[in-house]
Amino acid sequence: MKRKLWIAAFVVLGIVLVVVAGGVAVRNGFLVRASAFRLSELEEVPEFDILAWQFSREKEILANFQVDAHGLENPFVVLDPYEMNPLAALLLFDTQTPCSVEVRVGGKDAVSEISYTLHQQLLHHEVPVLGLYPGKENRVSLTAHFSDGASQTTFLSIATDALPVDFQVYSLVESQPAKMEPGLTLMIACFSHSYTCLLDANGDVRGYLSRKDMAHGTSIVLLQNGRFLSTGDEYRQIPYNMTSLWEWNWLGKVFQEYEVPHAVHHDVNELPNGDFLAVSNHRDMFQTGTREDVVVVVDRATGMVEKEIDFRNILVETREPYHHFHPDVRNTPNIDWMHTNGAILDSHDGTYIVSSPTQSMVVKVDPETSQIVWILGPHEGYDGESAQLEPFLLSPVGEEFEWAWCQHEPMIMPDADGNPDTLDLLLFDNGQSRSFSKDGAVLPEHNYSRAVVFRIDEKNRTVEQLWEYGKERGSELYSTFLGDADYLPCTSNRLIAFGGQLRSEGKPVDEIFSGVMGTTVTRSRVVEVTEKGEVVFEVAVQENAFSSSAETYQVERIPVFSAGSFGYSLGEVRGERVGESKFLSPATSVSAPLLFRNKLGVCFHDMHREGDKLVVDGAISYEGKTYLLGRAFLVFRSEKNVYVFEANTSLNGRFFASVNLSDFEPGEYMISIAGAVREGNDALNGEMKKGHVLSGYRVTLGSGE
Amino acid sequence: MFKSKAWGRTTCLLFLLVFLWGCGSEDAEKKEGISSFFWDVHIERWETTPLLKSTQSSVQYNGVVQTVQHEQTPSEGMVFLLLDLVVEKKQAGASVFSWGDVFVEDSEGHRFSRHPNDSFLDSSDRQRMKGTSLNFGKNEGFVCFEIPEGSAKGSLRLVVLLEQQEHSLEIK
Repeated sequence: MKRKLWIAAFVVLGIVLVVVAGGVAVRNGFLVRASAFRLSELEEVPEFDILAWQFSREKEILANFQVDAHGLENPFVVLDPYEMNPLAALLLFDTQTPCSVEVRVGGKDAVSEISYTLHQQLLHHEVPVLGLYPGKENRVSLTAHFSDGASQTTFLSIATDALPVDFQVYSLVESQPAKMEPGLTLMIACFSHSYTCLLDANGDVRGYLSRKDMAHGTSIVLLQNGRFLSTGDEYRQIPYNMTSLWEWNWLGKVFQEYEVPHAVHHDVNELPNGDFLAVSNHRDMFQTGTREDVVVVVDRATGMVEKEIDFRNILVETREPYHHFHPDVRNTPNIDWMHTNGAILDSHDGTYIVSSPTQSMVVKVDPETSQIVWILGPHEGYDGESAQLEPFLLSPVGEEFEWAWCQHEPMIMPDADGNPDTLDLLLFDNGQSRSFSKDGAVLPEHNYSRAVVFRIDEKNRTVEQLWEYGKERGSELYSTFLGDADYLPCTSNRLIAFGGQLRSEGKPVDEIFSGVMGTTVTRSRVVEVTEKGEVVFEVAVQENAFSSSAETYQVERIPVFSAGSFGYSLGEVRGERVGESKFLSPATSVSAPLLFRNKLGVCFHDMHREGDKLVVDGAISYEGKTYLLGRAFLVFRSEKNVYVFEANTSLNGRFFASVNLSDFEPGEYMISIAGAVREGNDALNGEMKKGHVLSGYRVTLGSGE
Repeated sequence: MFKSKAWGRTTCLLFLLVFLWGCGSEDAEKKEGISSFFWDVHIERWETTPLLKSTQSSVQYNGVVQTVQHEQTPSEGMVFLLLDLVVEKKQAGASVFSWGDVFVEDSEGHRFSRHPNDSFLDSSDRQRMKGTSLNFGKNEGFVCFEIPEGSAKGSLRLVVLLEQQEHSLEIK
């Protein structure tokens, strides 16, 4: 009996010891230890800095070019030298005497031939060839023009790859090149699945951006120096809030990267002094509880944000018009009450004109005083706290007048009446619901979108409708979200993007969220009309077998070649990075988990190092399922140190992070992701499901261990 | 005593055999390839398949991930031959690696060119080798050929014309 008791006591003691030892092991992090074996199983985070990579690529091109002699008759041809535009090539050759070079890319017909001249008289030539057709042997001619008047022409054939199979489908509906504004049509995509591309007058693709992370859902701007500006490759939050802007040319060379910690979304514009005016966020957008309600000015030389106009201090964030922009999330921690989608300068008085589609409001403000000058928009909903805004509302005049609803892209038109007190403003009026409340909402099958010009009399505080196009097309072109309207200066035509046409079984619907979910088809239509309303160019954009998304966020008519963006020599200009990085702060409320719990899944769209900056773009799931709401944390663990950061979390498990690795002690760190998803659509309530998994990556810092 | 010595010898012999076998297998893993003055080409791996299923996920305007399923099938009676290639330029110069000079040859001498648009590979979780001529650097990725089912059952060779000389490599 005694013996049995002893045995039982030993067993109990053994169990207790095992439990205690297990507890100690867990508490000491033994089970998540960054052991040598574990680290050896992980992949080192790759180093990639686009500016450094492009510069080394230029040197590689030159090294290959310099081995043999290349003249006009046998240029060294590099297709897509920067791996950004597969329909562009760079030709390198030398001539015995200085000459300028004329480039001609053969077209299907006379109007689609592309030609331009590099006027500098040079001996060494680096000639961009732009506007190649996809999947073809392109006929290209180079003509050298010498100073004595002589010329010499050589003909080349440049083969290009076919368009990717998931490229959106363009169908030409109308084209009258003689009446069109010159240039190519830049079709800017919104979703990361679609491609941003250049179309000619026949609706053929003549250039596209193969990188899907850049320039999506934000504008692309032709700068005064001939280069283009768009968002770059680093996200802050919901994937059109980017912390990087790139200045580039159509060969894909990035000259400058501007890091904007506030993040830029939707529109960017160049100010007359070269600085950028952009719609943005509060710098601490995750602490303020709101987003997309700040306009910033970025100093071009330093990349630093030199001015912030915070509309939470100007408008009223509690005003709640009826619209379809957001998914139904209760207690959302980051309210997008304004969704600012455009900001432009009125150079006559230095004020800014800012568009808020969710408020159906275009507001003019003095950037120095933050005083409202006027508000253009329907008059409903200005009660309670919003009553303070009522005095700024413009009064409509004239019989043919309709308000714009959920509008995009304000643009100031040339002065047509010579009256300094008036301002003609072009807008894309999406027309979503055409009502402040759900009760009066126009159903999508009876709705329409339009481009509209309003004349604003700032002295008399009135607004008059001067021109519109689109209403007569009815629901055919109805576009619940996205869109653009541009005045074209040579012809006075207007280029309009009916950008986000949500269609279910061919019928218009308003469910933006199901559109972005891909359960509803998103199509688009780009139309160029004369002032008299004659359609001179029209392209329909449709989905394909790989995607239900065929949206066009914005549209521009641009010159195919701008000399200013090609005035550099390979290997001499390394892209520069200016501005300020916005890094995550270490998490204070959460400690590193001591166990792995593998029901959480994680995948990465991007994970790279730019020196001491770690850039992460990932998504979490739970038991293979994506949840609308969730949070993600990055855990860095070495033998000696542990660091935890809360990522910037977006919807459906998406998360982003920039981590300053220079703050870490040297060592070899395994990276794991701790995350939680929440059942339902209530950010505060609903069952939480947690997990912690290895990311598959490690990062080695300093001398290592 | 005798028995334990025999066991010891046997154990040593087995150990030696395993060791030598291990060394041999390392040799066998060395990739055979094509080598010219400018280019090195080798096949990392290959497969034939009658169907490519792809799931394409894309992140939308507000962070939502959209997933689309797609199937890519070859013409009737054909299969896809997928080669995971490494094409590396080892010497600077104007030499260009052109896909028009790359073929798969079956046992009867029939030659097949690269699929004219195999960009569907990208959406089937395979990194695709770009379809335009290669100028420099180390280039890695899959290329796709459509070959008859019968050819796929026999021996196949990768044929590459480099610097006006034909090189070939058995696909095995």
